[in-house]
Amino acid sequence: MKEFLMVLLLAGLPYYVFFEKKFSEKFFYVSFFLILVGLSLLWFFNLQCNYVCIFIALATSIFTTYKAIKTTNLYKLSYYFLFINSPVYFLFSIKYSVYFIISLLITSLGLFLIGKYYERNYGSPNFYGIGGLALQAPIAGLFLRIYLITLALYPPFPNAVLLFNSMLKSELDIVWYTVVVVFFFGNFFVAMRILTNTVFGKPNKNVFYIDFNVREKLIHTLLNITLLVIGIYGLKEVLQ
Amino acid sequence: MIKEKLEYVQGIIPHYWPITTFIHHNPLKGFEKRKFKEALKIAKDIFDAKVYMDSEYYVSLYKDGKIKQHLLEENLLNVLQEHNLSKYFHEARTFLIEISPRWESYRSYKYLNEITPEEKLVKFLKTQSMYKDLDSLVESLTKFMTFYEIYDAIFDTNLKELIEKEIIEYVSRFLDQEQTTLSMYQRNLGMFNTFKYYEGVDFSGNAEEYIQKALDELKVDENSTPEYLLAHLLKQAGWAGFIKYREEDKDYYYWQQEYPASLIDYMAVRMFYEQKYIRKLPINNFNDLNKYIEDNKEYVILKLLKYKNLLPPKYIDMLENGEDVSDILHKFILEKIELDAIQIQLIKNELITFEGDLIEFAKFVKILREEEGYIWLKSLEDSYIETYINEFFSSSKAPKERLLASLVMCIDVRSETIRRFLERIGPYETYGIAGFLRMPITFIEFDTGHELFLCPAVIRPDNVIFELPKEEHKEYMAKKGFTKTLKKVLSDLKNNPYTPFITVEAIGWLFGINLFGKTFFPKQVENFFSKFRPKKPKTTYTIDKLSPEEIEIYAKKLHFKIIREVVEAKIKRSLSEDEVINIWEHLLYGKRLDVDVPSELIQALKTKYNITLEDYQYQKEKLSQVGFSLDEQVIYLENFLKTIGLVKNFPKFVLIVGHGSKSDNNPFESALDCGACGGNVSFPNARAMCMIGNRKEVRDKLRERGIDIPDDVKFIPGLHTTTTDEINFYDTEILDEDEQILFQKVVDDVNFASSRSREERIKTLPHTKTEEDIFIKSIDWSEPRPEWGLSKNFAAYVGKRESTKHLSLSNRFFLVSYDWRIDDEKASILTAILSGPLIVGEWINMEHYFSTVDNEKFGAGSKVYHNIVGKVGVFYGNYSDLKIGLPTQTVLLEDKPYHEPIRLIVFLEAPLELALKAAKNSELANPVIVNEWVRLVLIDEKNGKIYKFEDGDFKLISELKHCII
Repeated sequence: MKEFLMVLLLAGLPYYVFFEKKFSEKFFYVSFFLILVGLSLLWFFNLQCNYVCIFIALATSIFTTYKAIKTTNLYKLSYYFLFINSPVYFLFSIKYSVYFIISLLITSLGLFLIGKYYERNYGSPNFYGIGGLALQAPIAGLFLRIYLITLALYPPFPNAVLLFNSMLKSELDIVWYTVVVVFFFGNFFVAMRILTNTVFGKPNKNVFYIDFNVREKLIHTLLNITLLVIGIYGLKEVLQ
Repeated sequence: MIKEKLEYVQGIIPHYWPITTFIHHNPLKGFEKRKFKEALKIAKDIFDAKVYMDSEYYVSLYKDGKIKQHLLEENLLNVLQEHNLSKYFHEARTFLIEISPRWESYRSYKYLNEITPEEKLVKFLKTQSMYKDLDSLVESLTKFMTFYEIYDAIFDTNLKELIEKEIIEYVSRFLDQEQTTLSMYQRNLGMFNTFKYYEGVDFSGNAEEYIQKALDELKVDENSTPEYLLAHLLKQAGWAGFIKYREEDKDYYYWQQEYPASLIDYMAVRMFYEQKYIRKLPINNFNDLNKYIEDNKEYVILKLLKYKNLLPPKYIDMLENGEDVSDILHKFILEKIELDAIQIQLIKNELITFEGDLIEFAKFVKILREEEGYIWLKSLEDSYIETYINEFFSSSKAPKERLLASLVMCIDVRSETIRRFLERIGPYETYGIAGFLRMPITFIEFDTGHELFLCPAVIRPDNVIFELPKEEHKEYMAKKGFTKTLKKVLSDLKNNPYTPFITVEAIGWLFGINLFGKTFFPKQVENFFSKFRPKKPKTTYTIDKLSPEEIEIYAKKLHFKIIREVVEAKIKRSLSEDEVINIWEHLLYGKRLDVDVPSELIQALKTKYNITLEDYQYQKEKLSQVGFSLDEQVIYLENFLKTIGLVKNFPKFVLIVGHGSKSDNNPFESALDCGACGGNVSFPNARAMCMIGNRKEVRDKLRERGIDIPDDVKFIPGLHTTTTDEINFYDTEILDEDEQILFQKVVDDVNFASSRSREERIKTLPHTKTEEDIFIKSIDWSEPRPEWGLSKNFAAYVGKRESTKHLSLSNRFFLVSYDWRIDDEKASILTAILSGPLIVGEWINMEHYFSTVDNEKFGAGSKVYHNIVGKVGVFYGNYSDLKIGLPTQTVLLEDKPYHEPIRLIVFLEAPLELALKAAKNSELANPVIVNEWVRLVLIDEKNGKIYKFEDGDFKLISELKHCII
């Protein structure tokens, strides 16, 4: 029962498939909230999950990677990243992975807010055809680049550093290897695909590009400062 | 049949010359038979490109005063009159200046909730758009799309990527000019035959038959074939343009002679790869595809719109969510038209004085949107014309005393500052003539053996000049040989599969010195390495023709040398002179062979080494082209002098200065060399002309023809390095001691003028504060912009220098010396100027124009991403289309246009009747002038009138105030 609850809360099951057509935007909030609850339970009650949970989460991770490659909607992608990384919640001890999960939640939130920016200015959170952000809307392009590189697990961005920290402190076995390889590639391929198509893609001459407004700049700067602080902490941990 | 159809469309593809001899050209050369405005409209659709700058650009020029208000109004009114809309002049002007630059801001999704579009207007706009019915929508969306592109769009496949990658891979390997270490085998079979061998294609016919077969399999209908072939050519227009150049210039392009390629071959290769990937698909011909489209029209339209980035993301979401396609398409079209309608309504609210209804207003806006680019462009050109026509002519008088020197430079815009400063220093006059000096030559440089065609790309030379050493050069050859060997060893070490790692470990650090040195201390490193470079010996040119006997001797010598080398290597003994002659006579005339040589070797000499009677005749013909006859020398000198108008009052020195550029790590360096010399350094022409000019027998003959060059006049050649504005003179050993003293004053003054010119250029070059910075730019390998080159060119002045010498023309004018009073009744000189310099100027100007307005389509993009491919050009990354046109660093500064894209304004100083004759006589210039690819302004000094050529007629624009004869 405990395991089933955790699998539900920590994105171990791809339950978004039942809701995403109708609530793709709101579904990010739901997933985000549930993971926070699951994380709190893990932390306060020091819960441990068995291999079954890990395998379920792994299957979800693979399935979600496939779904993520098929879509160009940033709302969907923001919660897909939470699902792609779900094996991490079960694989590592919560005391080592908590910062990685927080960092992941922040970057996914950043990506989701970029989706908001897309929707407001280009009519939809779908990035298809809105390429060349780096040239046409450089500030939005810069923040999006940071989120995507972080999600792609590029060191020394915080997700990569914190994940390494979790990995270094974990016990290794064949499940561990399999899981790490899968979500590493999943994160990388999905993030790079978005990066090449939106940030560095060809600008669309049919689109009137608008960059971040002051409010957006402020929000994303705060998110990035948080990521920086977590990243510094992670680096400190790794070096210890 | 296919050939004819291909020829019908291939004119649309621009030529591309190899980058080593970069030829500035008009990318829309194939459209020059049409009026400029009409041609741009057609080209815009075909290339899906921008052909004018955005209105914001022109409005900023208008606000800066560069575009004059009254000229803008005049041009606007003309357009409105054509459409019977002159009563809306004020509204139209406001639209152009205030509304159009903000065009997109009237189009926002937020307005859909705030404003209700007028139903009548929505209906009208729909009938006017491509969305009026689904069939025409499919037709317009699939125009110029290949089968695999349509398939990709509908079925989300990635065929285009795969097919184009394979095509580029093959084509770039076939067209490689020894950049790769492992060349493709059997290239001498020709592009398609090699391809069959390479891909194992089991097809016995030729390329044309293969294309027909592929088209039949694809079920492309007869009438659509030309368009389909064009669609294919447009996919890689750069590669197609290069193959087109090779094919058309086959007699002069070594690589084409060795490894022939043609557009037919290229098309067959394209068709093969298309077939390769689509053959196994469930839908693999147009009949089936059209049926699928017919059955799923709405879905296909949505997919095509998505593929072409025309479908807003929210509809992509709807498509992804599996909503009803008919519903999505209906909503999309309605929303699009409603946005258009709201845009019109919002704009009309700002132009409240417009009396007509919304539909009339929509038509009015449509006309203005279509015409505004040309209105602004023409107004900008007219503003320049008006500014300058009253500035030409000053009261400067001809000097009474004999001048010390006349400086003859290329018409290139970069010569203007030096000419201006030199004229202001002292007793000098300057002239401008196309760098080939009206003397087309094939030049073979000492120690390289390459043929350079030093003349405009539209001309082919009849005379060959060899550069030969005239002093001991053993040390030079030894040093060259050492460098060559060293390079070969390094190349072998680098390319051998086993050695690179060891090489890098052992001597890699040596390259580090060069790498860091050139990056941080470019000047010091350049000085250091220059000490090790072999110093070229003094040379001379083969100016005189060879006698028939000499031709005979040299042709035989060449054959004898080959026979001796080949046979001696095989039979391992020396051959006597008689034996060699015996073998040669046997090979050419079938005489009895008295030397014991294996029959296979005799066969090899005939076939492999081409020792045949035909080759002997060919060599003799080639040798007969070496040098000039005395008459030719006289005629070339006479033409040269008459063209620039220097036929009397000769100064002590006539300095003929060629030009070239100097930069490091710059594949586009030849684009900065002389355009009139086919993208080469024009010094050999200058030197050859000086050698001719200094000959007594030439001067004697010329005197008989009415041009008396005093015996003490000396012709001295020079070279202008445009990057640094230095001018160096050569062959000064012909001067005696007194002359040397006099000439030193000339050199000092030229150096002073060069320095002043650099000071002026510092102001325009970014990150340049001192003259020293300019010198460093020429040797800095990280410098993407060593000089501005011909950027900002906008006009040519064809006339006497006195008319312009008082003006500072900021290196923006091609200055062509011409004195109509010297020209004959047939306007021969002017015809030659229009056929050569004018065409070169127009090509340069149009290349800059289109590279600025749409660098992605007509330019070469940023140099930062370029990789050299096959030594023929540059492309992006590992494979892409060959990048034609100019890089962004040449025409843009910090993403804003540095070059001002306008048509070349040709100010021509000549009587009307003479100009008409010349324009009629010149087959090359006639369509360019008549169809307004240049703006011709005629300054008729004789009759005191100034005309502008417009709409097929010379229109009087001003009366001349000065110099009326």
